[in-house]
Amino acid sequence: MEESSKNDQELAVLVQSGEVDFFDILFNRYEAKIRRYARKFIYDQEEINDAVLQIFTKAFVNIKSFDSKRKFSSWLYRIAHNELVNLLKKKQHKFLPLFDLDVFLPRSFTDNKIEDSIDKKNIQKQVEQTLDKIEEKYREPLYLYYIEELDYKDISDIMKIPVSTVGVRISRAKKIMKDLINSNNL
Amino acid sequence: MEEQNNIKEDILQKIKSGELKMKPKIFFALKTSFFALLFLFLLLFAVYLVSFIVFMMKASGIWFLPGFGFSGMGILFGALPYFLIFLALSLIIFSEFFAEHFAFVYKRPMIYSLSVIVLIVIIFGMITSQTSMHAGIFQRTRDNNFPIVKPFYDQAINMKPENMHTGIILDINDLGFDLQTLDGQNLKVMPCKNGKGKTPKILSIGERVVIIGPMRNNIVDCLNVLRVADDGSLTPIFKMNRRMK
Repeated sequence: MEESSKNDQELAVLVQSGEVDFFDILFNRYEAKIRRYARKFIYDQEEINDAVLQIFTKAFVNIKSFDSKRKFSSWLYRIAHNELVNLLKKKQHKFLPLFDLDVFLPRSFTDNKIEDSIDKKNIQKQVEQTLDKIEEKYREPLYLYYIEELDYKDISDIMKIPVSTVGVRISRAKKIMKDLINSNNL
Repeated sequence: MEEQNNIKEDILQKIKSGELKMKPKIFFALKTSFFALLFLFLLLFAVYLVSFIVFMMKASGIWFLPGFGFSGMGILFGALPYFLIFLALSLIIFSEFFAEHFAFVYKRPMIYSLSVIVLIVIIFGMITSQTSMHAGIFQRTRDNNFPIVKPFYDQAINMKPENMHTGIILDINDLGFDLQTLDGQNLKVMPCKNGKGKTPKILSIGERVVIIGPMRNNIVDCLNVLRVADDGSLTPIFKMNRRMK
C-alpha cells in the first residue's frame, strides 16, 4: 500500500470500516517510533520485536475502540505503554506500586512549552544522553514529551495519570537530568 | 529493516487470512458499561453498608455514646463494628479503582475523585439511615429468616457494648429505677453518682434512656444517664460535654 495523504485518524477510521489494507500505512508510520519507545523499557532485541508484534496486533484487534476525535498516536502509545508495563512486571517479577503520592495529591507545575521552544533541540540531546540513567517513572514522560513531542494531555492519556502529575514528573526528570550532566560532565 | 518487514508481513498475513479479527464496537461499549455499572454497584453497596452501620449503632445504642463525654468515647471506640467499617472503606477504594477507567477521573488528582466518592457515600448513607429501610429489612428477616442477611441484622440488635445499657424505664423508686433493655432483660439501676444518690425527678416511667455504668448481677451502678426523645435526640440528665442527635 502506498503512503497516503490522509492523516492517522482518517486512516484508522478506514481500517475500522473494513479497509484493512490501510493498516499497512499506519504500521509504516509508527513502527520505528514504537520500537524506539520499547527500547526505553527493554533492551533485548528479540523481546523488542515480540513487543512490537504484540502492540500492533493489539492495535488492529482493538481498533474499533479508537475514537476518531482523539489522536491516534496517543491511543497507540497507550496500548504500547500497557504492553510494555505488563512485560516489565513479568520480567522483573515485581508489582509496580499501586499508590503514588504524585497521583493522589494536586501538584502545581509549570508548562514547559514557552521555555523549551528556545532550546528544545539542546534539551532533546541531553535527554538522549541521560534517559537510561533516569528512574522509570520519570523516564517515560520525559521521553514522550521531548523525543516524541507529545503534549501533557496526551501523556496523561497514555499513562493514565493526572495532567499535573505529568508536569511534576517532567520537571523532576529535568532536574535529575541536569544533576547527572553536571556530575558527569556530559 | 528486515525485522520490520517480517513483523509487518506476519500481521498483514494474519489479517488477510482472517486469523486476526477486529473486536466489534459493541464489545468496547459493553466493557465501558460494565465498568460504569460495577462502579455504581460498589458505590450503592458502600452507601447501604454505611447506612447499616449507622442503623446498627443506633439500634445497639452506641450511637449515643459520644453524649457521655470522654468515658462514652472510650466505650464507643471499643464497640465500633470495625469489620463493617473496613468493608465499607474497601468498597470505596474499589469503586475509585473502577472510576479511574474514565478520563475525566484519571486526569485529575485522585484525592478529588476519592473525596467525592467518600462524600456521596457518607451523605447518602446518612440519608438512607434516616429512612425505615433497615428497620423494614430487620422485621422481614425476623419473619422470613433470610439466610444471608439475618445474621447481620441479628448482630445489629444484639451488639452490647460493655458498661452501656439502653432500655425503657419500668418503675422508679427510692433505690433507683427498673430498666427493661431492648432484648427484654430487666435491670435494676442504682441512683447515678452524678445525681448525688437520687434519681432525677424529670425521669418518668416509659421513657427511653441510655445508662452508662458497670453491671453486676443485673444491678447497674449508674455513672450517667441520657434521655432519648422520640426524634432520637438525647437530653443529658447530668452535666455533659455535649448534646447529640
